[in-house]
Amino acid sequence: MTDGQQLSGRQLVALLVLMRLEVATIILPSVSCVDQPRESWVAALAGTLAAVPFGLLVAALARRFPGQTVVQFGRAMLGRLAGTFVAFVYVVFFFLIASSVSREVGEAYVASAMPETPWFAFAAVVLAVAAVAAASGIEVIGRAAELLVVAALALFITVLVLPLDMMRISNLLPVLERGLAPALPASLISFGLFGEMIAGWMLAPYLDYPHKMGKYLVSYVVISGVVLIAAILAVVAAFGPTANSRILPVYNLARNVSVARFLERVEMIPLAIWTFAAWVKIGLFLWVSAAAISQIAGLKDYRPLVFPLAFLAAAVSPVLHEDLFGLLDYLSWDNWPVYACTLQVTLLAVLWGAALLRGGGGKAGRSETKRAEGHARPGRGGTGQRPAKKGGHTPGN
Amino acid sequence: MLILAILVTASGCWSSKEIDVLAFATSAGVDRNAETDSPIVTVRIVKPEAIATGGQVGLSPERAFWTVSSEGRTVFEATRNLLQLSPKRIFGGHGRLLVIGEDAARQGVQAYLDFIDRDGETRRAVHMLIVRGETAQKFLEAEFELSPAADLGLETQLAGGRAGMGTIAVTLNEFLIALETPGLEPVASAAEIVVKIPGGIAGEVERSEVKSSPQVGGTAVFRGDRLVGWLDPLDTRGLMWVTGRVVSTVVVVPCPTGDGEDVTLEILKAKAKMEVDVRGDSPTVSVFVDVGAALAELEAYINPLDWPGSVDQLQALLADAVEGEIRSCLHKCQVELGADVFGFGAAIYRSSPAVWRRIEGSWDDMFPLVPVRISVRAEIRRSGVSGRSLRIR
Amino acid sequence: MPLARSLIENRAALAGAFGNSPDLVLRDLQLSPQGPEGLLVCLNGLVEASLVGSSVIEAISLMDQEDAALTDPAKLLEALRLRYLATTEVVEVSSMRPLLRRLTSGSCVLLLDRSATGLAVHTAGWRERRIDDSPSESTIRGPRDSFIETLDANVAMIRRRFRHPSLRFEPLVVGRATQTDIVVAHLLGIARESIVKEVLTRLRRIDIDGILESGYIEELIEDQPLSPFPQILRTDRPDRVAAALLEGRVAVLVDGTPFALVMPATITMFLTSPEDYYDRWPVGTFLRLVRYAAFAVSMALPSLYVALTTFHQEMLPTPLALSIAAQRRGVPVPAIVEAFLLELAFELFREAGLRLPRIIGPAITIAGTLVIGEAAARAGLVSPVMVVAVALTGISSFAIPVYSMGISIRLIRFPLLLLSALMGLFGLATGLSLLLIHVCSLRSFGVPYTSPFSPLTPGGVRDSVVRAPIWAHDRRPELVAHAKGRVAARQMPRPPKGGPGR
Repeated sequence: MTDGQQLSGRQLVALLVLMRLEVATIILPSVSCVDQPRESWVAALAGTLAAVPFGLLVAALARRFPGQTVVQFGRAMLGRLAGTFVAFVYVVFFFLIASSVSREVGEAYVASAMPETPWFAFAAVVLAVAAVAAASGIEVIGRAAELLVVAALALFITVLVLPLDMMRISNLLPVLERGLAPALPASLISFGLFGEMIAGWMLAPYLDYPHKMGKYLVSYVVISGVVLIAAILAVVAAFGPTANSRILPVYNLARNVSVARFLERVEMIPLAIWTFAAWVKIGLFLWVSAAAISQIAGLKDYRPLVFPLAFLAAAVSPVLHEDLFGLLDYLSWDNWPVYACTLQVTLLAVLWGAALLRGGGGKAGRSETKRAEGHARPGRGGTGQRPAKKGGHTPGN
Repeated sequence: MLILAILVTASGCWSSKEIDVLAFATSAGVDRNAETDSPIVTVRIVKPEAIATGGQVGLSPERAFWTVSSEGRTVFEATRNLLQLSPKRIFGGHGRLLVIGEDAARQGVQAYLDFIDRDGETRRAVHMLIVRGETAQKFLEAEFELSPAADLGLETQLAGGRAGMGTIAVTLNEFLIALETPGLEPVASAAEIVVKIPGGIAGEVERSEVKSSPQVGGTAVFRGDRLVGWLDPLDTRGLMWVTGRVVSTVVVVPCPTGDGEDVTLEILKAKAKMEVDVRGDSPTVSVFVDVGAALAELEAYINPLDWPGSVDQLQALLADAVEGEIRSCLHKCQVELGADVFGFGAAIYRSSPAVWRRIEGSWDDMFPLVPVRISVRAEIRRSGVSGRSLRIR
Repeated sequence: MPLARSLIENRAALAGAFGNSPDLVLRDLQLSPQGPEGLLVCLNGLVEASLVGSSVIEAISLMDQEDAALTDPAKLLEALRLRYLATTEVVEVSSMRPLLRRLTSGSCVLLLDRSATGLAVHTAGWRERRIDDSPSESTIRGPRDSFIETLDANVAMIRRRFRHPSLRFEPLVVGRATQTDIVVAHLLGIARESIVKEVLTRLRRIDIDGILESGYIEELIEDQPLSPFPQILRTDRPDRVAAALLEGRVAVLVDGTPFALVMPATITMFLTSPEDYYDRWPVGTFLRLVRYAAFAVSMALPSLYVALTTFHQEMLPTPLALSIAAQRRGVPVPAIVEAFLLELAFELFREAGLRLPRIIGPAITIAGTLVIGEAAARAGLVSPVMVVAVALTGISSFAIPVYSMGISIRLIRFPLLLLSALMGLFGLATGLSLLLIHVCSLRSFGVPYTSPFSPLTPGGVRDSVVRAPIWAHDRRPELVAHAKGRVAARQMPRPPKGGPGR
């Protein structure tokens, strides 16, 4: 897209919600990678609550540097070398998630609906679709997310509500029998996943009302948090202590639905949700990686990077985890979540620290006006969606 | 775009299976070969034509299903061996019932259940039946007249809770949860085969004589994963009162006029609450049952003027009857079988985990001695369409 | 090239311009015994003969003596132009180009000797089609007129609907050989000027030998020619065009075809019918929802069926699964091939039905599909449930009011079918995802194709998913037009205070 791309607040929230929902729908690691699923909802609640101030800080940092991405203000404050290093860490973080998610989707399909197909087929196709989306531009991904999120949320809630007859409150008791402390490490899982919102540091320049970013991030946390906790409660209420034997809790829940002897086996719904959410998420992260790299390297257009990155992600995905068990282990609290939380918090702290010390950036205007054109952001030179000879599109739309 | 095309076409369709090469197994059964201790797996496969809505009202001359059995060292191996016997690929996705023979159940079902839970095709909502006195294989060969595919019929019965007075419906999910929950023993529906006499059946049967027919009733009680005993239908109802699973049943009480006539009360609703008192070292359990009934049948005549008093009497009689059933069940489970199917232990765990942790080890010994206080409140709310019964002049 | 003064030269030039065409009429006139010689040129078939006779020839003969005695050709022409020639439009022409243009537009041209100026008299009157019901978009309730092939008539139909002078028409000529007249219509002050300018720019850019139909223009000016989705709305209903103009859109009318173009177009425009507005709003809402469902069904139903029965049989309800399994026994081909064959057969029937003479056309389409499908099912070649699925799909695609969209969906159906045959529901989901990405990236003259859903404009949603009552229609599509305020406040009918019946 030309520089006229814009992301509305709703689209941002939609993007992030889908990003979070994707993991919840497939694996719900808060339940399936945990020892005591009964207390997972407490851990998830803790993670959600912690994510709120985190989100506000993330947004505040972005607001200090209006129109700049993390690559730019990172370098501005930390110096070229350190800043580039930080940006590089950022890129690798998201790139690895993209690759891992494609693996997740593949393994999920193999474990559930189509066991004979090699998981790589799914992973590769999802990566390809995500690459197409990323190459089409962030606005396209945002629009697609906006269209999908409502349906996805509604269907997800439906899946949680339909198996009501399977659920017993007794499965949720006793609460916190060993006290609060043992339950808390699991909260790193949900916090780490919420923390992926630092992708917002690359998206901030595209927002139509940048000063509202804090509000957007908080809405994302609240919406996803509520849905997440509801999902955990539903799964544990239905499956009791056997809940963590389910690799794909929500899918299994949907499988066993039986309403009026007719509406049975609605597992198509989680399948559909996670397929769409997956390419949205991977597409977003591919875009983030490509855009950041193009900024680091000073390239004019990020687009040529997208497909090579996708290939790379596909190549990396078999290496990331040994097998499905490796993947599950990876997502349990003492593995990826620790690494993710550390990285996110450290990045935030480092950047904030530099901002406060160096006094970098300015108070972004609290103005109500829409962001004007012309801010530095990853460009896309050359032919756009509309060939130049057509005279271009109407700007500002 | 090109890459996408290549990817998609190169991936092929490994998982594709045409629908007509599938054999729909609507029930599966597991037995144990007594000599070799290896599992025997039986599946009942429905013939699609029998169910297809082709408008056939009469029953076709042939049986609507096949059964196939085979053996293996483990359940999965046995299942694989089945494939040798069936030209079509056996598809468990539509399974309804899981039947286990008594012999196999007594030895412990954990070994059998793992595969079934792990396999992607089975659903956890299948109903579990334990066959009393017979093998699962024989059970799966029995059939109903009215519904050619017995499984769907049975499942309707179980799911609807209308199979009779003492039938409990247990899904695989519930069974597995009970296995993993401390202080709760699993149960499953009990089933048996009723041998029919050919010719003595109402309704035309053009098939060769119906030899045997399945019937569900009663409960199979487990300790851990081993079958230890049975509850007859009345005791089963006792269990259902306590666990709040009564759906629709009738209770017959003697008529208060005292002339040997009976009154039938239809139960509309039954709720139960379990409370545990853990003071001291020996816990006591209180069970509160709240029953709502309707007057369904009145064999004798009661003067309308006596009505309120009669209703009170009936309610008391009902409460007594219910309490009696519960006591009987309690006795059976506590004393004879020693299996905490009510979940007293789990209730203790829920209310005070610390206490449970202390007594967990000795719960097996403590359970039979736990004093249980039962309190039933019965209310008769309706009386059908008639007010009073017939008065013969 | 300017006209010559000599009549003979002009006459020769005209004859040379048209060659041996039999429709060129060169009629000599003598206005008066002393006056210069005259020549009346017209193209037979384009002019109304009686009009030529009465308003030109007769009018000349009715000149009063004084004027008839004029010998100066200039004065004579002046007199004729101002006082005698009895039609609405009389224009002076002094060079060949405009003269030829007028001739081919149905005027007759009067030339005098010794004058390099002639008069073009508007006498157009060729045979044109009667204004009739629209054959492609008929409604039960609502205006029945539809555009015809003559530009003037179409312009008139629109003009009649807008009495306010803010309705503007910009004329253009496109096509080297066809010199087709085109008119761009918009409401001044309501349509965004940038969009109007963009439309004009793109039209002026066109360099082609001939424009025979508005479809040519559509393809030459649309944003994304490679997309299966139409980005410009084509319609032959003046009420649809008028409604669009009120929303601030731009319409292009092309001479020679009844189909007008409306742009910018968003996806919801292709799924709505003007009839939605003529009935009451619950009806309109309901029908719209039905149409959205039809949209989904016609695109995805066969794919869904194939995906479920080939890959995910456990997702079907058991009796249905068994029923399908029973029906498919003995069918020699896999479900995928069956689906493809039936779909292609259906398309074949539909196309054949269109080409057949009108008398047997509809019979073949309906009879052909169902009866032959039934026979094929009976013969065991296909399963009845597949016939039902395909027929349902086809009928759903007819429920889409705009034909171009219906066709696009039929096209999309095949790749989706292929994808779901390869990878089941995952393939279907992938196909739909790619479609979604594509649709989200489409713009029509700068307006996102997916608005009003995304970017979400609540006012817009009010008019696309449901059909809000007329008294609630206060906004125009934000990205297309300027002004809000279509409906004054408090227009909702209410019973008078003090109860009804007063």
